Amino acid sequence: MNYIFILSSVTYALKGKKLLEENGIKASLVKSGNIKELRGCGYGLKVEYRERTKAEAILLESGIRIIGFSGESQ
Amino acid sequence: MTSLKREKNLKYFDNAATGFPKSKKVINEITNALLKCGNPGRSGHEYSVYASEVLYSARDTIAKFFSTNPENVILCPSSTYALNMAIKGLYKDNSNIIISDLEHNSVLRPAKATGKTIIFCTDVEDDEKTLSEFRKSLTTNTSIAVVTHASNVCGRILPVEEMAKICRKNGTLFILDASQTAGYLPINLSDSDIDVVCIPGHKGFYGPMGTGALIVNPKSNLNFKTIIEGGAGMMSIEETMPKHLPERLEAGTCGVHDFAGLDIAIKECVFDKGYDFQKYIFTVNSLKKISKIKIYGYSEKNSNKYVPVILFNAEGISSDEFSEILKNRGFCVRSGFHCSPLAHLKFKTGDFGAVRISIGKKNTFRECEELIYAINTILK
Repeated sequence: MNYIFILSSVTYALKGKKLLEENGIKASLVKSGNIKELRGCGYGLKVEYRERTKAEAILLESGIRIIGFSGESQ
Repeated sequence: MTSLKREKNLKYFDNAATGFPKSKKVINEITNALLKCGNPGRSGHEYSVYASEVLYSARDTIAKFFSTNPENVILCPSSTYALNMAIKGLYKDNSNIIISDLEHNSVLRPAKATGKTIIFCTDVEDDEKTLSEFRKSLTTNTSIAVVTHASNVCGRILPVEEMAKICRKNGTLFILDASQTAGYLPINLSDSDIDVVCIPGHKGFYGPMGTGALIVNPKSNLNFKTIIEGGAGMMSIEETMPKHLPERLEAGTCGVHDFAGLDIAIKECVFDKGYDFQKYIFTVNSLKKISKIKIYGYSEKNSNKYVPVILFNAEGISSDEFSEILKNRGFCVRSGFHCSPLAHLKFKTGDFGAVRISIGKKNTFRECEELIYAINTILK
């Protein structure tokens, strides 16, 4: 199971990816075509489900706004 | 197309126009990106994601260089674009803009097109006089000040940090045109009152042409009006641009391959003020010894406050003619007005312009000696 953080832009998603990887969490960039909160396309970061709490704390601590979440089967 | 038959023998002294030559690593990186990049920030497939990462890496490198956050780096095609976005995007209706009398048309024209523009006088001999004139031109109705870090015509570095401090106290935003200094002088935004820095990628950094950036101080909370709207790869149902930076100011597809080159160029950038200064001082002092040469905008007592740009004319020879003679001897310099009409009015070179030598990081001391020898020979 994966966990996806929906972020406000591709720039913030890549900033988050770099931060997570610096903290030992593997993350990948994913695109979504219809994010209700963003009124259209946006980007998210996919991490392993078991890493979600640590990842969320890192993102929030660095001021990256999390727009939403979604779960995804592997 | 003009052939470059003498390419290997050409000596390039036009680095204020563009830093040349570009490094092999920069060229390789551009080629690599052209082979691997899709459209950045638009899709979820590997080519697009790779391109997004390439672009982010350039953004991050620029951010680190200027001590700000990656989201505060807006990538654009040139310093002129960055200056237009900053001036037009931050101007408050019915307010004043102040600029110096050394500004390039990339500041003068957008300022004049935007609002009432007040021009203050600089003094190459005395920074205190420059600051005094700056203070006098500032009013409570001045929304922005836009000042060049160093003149593209005479190379004089202006006391911009002091000006930015004055602006902060006055509630005026300070926009720095770092077209001639980015890559030559350090600019640390986290320790500065400068609100916005506009840079080209292709001059002091030796990156590709077609790259530039608008860089926002992490302490400045700015709301930009947009001057260009279009696709941003996100929030596609909205009819207006996203509110947050950098996407707010980045409509349309950017030249990701060129920014890949700029990324490497900035990573390669080193400050060697000692050697650059040595070449500059040798050249300017040698020119001063030639009786038929008149140098403009140079102050000997402030010789350490210059980037390596020298403006001069030879007695009885127009700037175009003199640069043509130098061209025929294999030297690349620039003549005319250098897109800076205010500076030529100031130096009274408004009729025919002047010759500009701009020494780059890649010029050798030997090349400077050869240039001086050639000028001496021409004027004998």
